[in-house]
Amino acid sequence: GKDDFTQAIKVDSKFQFGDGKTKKSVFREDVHINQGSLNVYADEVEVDASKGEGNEIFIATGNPAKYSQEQEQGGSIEASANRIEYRRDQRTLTLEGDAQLKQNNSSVKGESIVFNMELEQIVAQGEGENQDSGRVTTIFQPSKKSAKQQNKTNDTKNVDPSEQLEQEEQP
Amino acid sequence: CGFSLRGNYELPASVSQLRVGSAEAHSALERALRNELKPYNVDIIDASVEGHSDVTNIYLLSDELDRRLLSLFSTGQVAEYELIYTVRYELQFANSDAQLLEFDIKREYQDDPDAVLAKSRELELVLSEMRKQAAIRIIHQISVAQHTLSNSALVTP
Amino acid sequence: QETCPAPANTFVVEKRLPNGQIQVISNMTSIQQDNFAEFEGEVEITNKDSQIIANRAQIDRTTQQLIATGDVTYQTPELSVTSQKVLLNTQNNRMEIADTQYELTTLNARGDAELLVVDQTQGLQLNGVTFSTCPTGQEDWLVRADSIKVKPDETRGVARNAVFYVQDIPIFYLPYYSFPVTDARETGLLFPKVGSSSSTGFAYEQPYYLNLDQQYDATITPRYMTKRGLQLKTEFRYLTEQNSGQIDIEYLPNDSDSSTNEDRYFYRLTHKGALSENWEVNVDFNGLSDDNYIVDLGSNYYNSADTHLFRTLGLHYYSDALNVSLQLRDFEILGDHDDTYRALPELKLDYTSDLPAGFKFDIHSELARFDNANGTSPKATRAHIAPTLSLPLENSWGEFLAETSVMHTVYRQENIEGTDLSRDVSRTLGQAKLYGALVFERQAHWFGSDVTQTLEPRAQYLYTSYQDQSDIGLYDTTRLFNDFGGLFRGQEFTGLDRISDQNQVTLGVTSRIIDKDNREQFKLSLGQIFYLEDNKVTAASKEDDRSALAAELDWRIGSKWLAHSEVQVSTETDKVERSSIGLEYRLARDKMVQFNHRFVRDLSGEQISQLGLTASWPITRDWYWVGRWYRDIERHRTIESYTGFQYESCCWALRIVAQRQLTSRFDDDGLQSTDEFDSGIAIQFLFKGIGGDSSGRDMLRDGLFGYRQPYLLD
Repeated sequence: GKDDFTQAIKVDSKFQFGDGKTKKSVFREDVHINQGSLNVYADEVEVDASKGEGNEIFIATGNPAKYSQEQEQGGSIEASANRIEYRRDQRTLTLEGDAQLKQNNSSVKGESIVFNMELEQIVAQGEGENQDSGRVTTIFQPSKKSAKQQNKTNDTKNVDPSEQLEQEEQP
Repeated sequence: CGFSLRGNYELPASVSQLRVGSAEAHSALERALRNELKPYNVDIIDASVEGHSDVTNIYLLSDELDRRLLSLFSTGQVAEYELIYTVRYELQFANSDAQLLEFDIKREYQDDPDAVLAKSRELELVLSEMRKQAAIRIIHQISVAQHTLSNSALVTP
Repeated sequence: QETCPAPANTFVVEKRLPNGQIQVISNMTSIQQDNFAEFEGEVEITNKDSQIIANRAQIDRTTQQLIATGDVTYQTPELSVTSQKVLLNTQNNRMEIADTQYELTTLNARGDAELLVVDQTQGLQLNGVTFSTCPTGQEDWLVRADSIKVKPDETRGVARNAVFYVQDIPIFYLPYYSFPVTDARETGLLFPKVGSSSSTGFAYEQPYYLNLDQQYDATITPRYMTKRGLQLKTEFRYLTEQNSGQIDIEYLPNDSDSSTNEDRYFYRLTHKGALSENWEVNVDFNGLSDDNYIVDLGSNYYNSADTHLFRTLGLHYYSDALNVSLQLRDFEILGDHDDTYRALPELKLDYTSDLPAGFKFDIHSELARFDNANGTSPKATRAHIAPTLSLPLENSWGEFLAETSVMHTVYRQENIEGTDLSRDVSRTLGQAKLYGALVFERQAHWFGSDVTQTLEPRAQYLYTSYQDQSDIGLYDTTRLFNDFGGLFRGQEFTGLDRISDQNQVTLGVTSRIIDKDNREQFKLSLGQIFYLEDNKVTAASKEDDRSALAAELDWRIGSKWLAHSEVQVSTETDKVERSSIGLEYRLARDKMVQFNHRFVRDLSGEQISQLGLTASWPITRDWYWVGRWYRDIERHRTIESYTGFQYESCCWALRIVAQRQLTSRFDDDGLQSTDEFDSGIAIQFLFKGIGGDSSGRDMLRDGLFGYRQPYLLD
């Protein structure tokens, strides 16, 4: 949630190099960053604090690197990509390379995904023209929260174009 | 001259049980078929009984009688008719899919305007004979189909 | 016909997703608060039942709306629609698409619609619609309508204010028009029939189909004839759980061609009803205004050469052991045969039971009251009972039947003054039958392939006792038509009024050639009855001691030729009494030639010798021809010549038929003319796919000798 960002950041890893002058530090092998409900797992994380407190840039790379965090109104976000860049000042998460991001109602897969945590906005880009590989795939699950609303219009078999955003609770 | 009594083309052992049903209630063809099956001492189950799928199924879909003109008197009125009895039925062996089969039985029949009631009785008599012939044909087709089914190598459910 | 485009619906079912899940593939996606999503670039939205392809789309889950814009294609297994904008409200599952081009895959029909609405409860509705089954761009015909509605699970669609165009020329207008949606075979041609014949002059017929309810429908067909005026043909059909039936009424007020301008009508009621598990009622009741109705105006149920119509009411009780039927059997006779008997009523009771050791015991009994259309002929009440004990045995190589029965009949005859019938008659006869059949087999060679040949001898001894029956009238009795099938019947007459004494042996033999996939290639049967004693029952007396030799042949010569023949030769005079020969060369269903010849030495005092030729052959890829030519050799004249051409295109067919056939018209004093012919030309236009199926009345089954009339089976 929002108060995650006020909490301390804990980082642990097998190796750690700090470069006081450039204020960059690199953590390698089984890197785990934790801040409140926010967790990052990666093979390597580079932290660039050169722009001062509160403007750090974390770059995590892995096969894939993983990120998860709780959301205000419940549910959680999980993301994975070859490279995850987290900019603390803009509070944006940029996933590059086989990027995936799951929210409680939808999940997005594509080449690059930008997630603005402040606005809770996701923008995903495909890469090239060719079919599924360079394209973005979004899957909407039947959402849980308004399931009760759905009870009255159940699924019928005939010509029914609706995409059934809501659905009874899956057993 | 090499003739010997026919071997057992009788209903194959696997057809010990037979479920017989028809789309039409009180089908006279179904009665004729059950009658012709009697000497084969096959256990006949009624179609309404929900059986398991390892029983051979015969389901009579339809039987129709048509007449077609064969010859005319000099007055242009009909002299001879051809009676065409068309039977359509479904044959399904234990756990294999159903085959839709159809055949015609043809008999000749002559009309006579001076004895219309008598001729309608003759029509009933010929129809019952055609139904008996159709029942025998169905039984023969079961043994033929089973014969080809069992010796075709790929009998896998 | 030329290759017609198959419906281009590419929505493949197995791409389906689990219920409720939606997958969107696009070049760019942006989602706000997990609620509002926008998609850009080759957007493909797929869910369980449908797929939407568009340039852009947005899904707003709070307002439950999906909007897709830019070259939108919406597809379900039954429907595919293209448009610029699609609006879908997921709350009530209602979709509206404006300015669309659509294609109904089940109907292979397509067109465009100003507004297309798909709604879960209302089904499909197209407004401002054009509709055709022709390939796009080659619309030889189309329907323009205010609206077409197809309700869910309905088999018929309804068009309102429909105008039919052929090559942009409006042909006719229908305020309400219902047509079949599913490909379930809808009987009846629903499109104009234009033709001319010497009996009707120029005739134009336009059927209107009314889909009243799931279980009832009606067809009203006005028919205008230059020679006779306006006829109205109505047909009402019903099909419910228990009952099914049909009512036809045809009415032609003051027929201008007939000398007395009288009204002419035909009616027909057929009904079959299950009263309960075992009780059933059926009706086949027909009537018409005059003997020439069918000859002059034609009928779907009766042939112009038929001699009578049925007027039967029946009540039946069915159970395993006991079957009872109570029937009223009357007839409408064509021509002046007024001394025909009718059974009002006729009660039949059949009981059958299996006894131990394979024996069977049956009782057949009847009670009938015969009366006659004209008052002067004898009337009778007859009761009959015939218990029979039989032992039927059967296995793969043979069949044996021993049967004995006693037949007891009692008559009460009236109106018998001046005849040698007596008032009360009682007759008791005994009958015994022994029948045996064996089946021998051997492997043999037949035209180079090894086959199984069978030899099936059959023999029957039949004894029936004698009693003089000259004081019994003939009510439902006449001599039986004897062919090979009837040789072993052991009955010379229909009905019960004459049971001839018999002391005879019947011998028969059949040989078949069966190929390795069990198909009969050749079958020859011979049979004859040997009378050991002369008949004493006068009606059955015969000059010689043997019946005619009956033979039957079926021969499949190669894969294309088929021969069939039945012959009866009188062994006394060595003359052929009856013969029929048929030879058919068949390459495909509509590619065949058939030759047949029939000869009957004496049939009701006339000799029949008739030659028939039927052929059906495709001329070009789109045209095919059917021809039929029947020649009466005895009187050196052609009794039917028929030639029909059919042009087949993807969405319509045109049929032109010219025919000339002998008719059996009755002149004013009830005598039948012997050289009156009816000739005519008919042009029929069939819209394919909606109401008019391509074969229509298949030309091979058209005309005098082709057409098959249905009997009603109870």
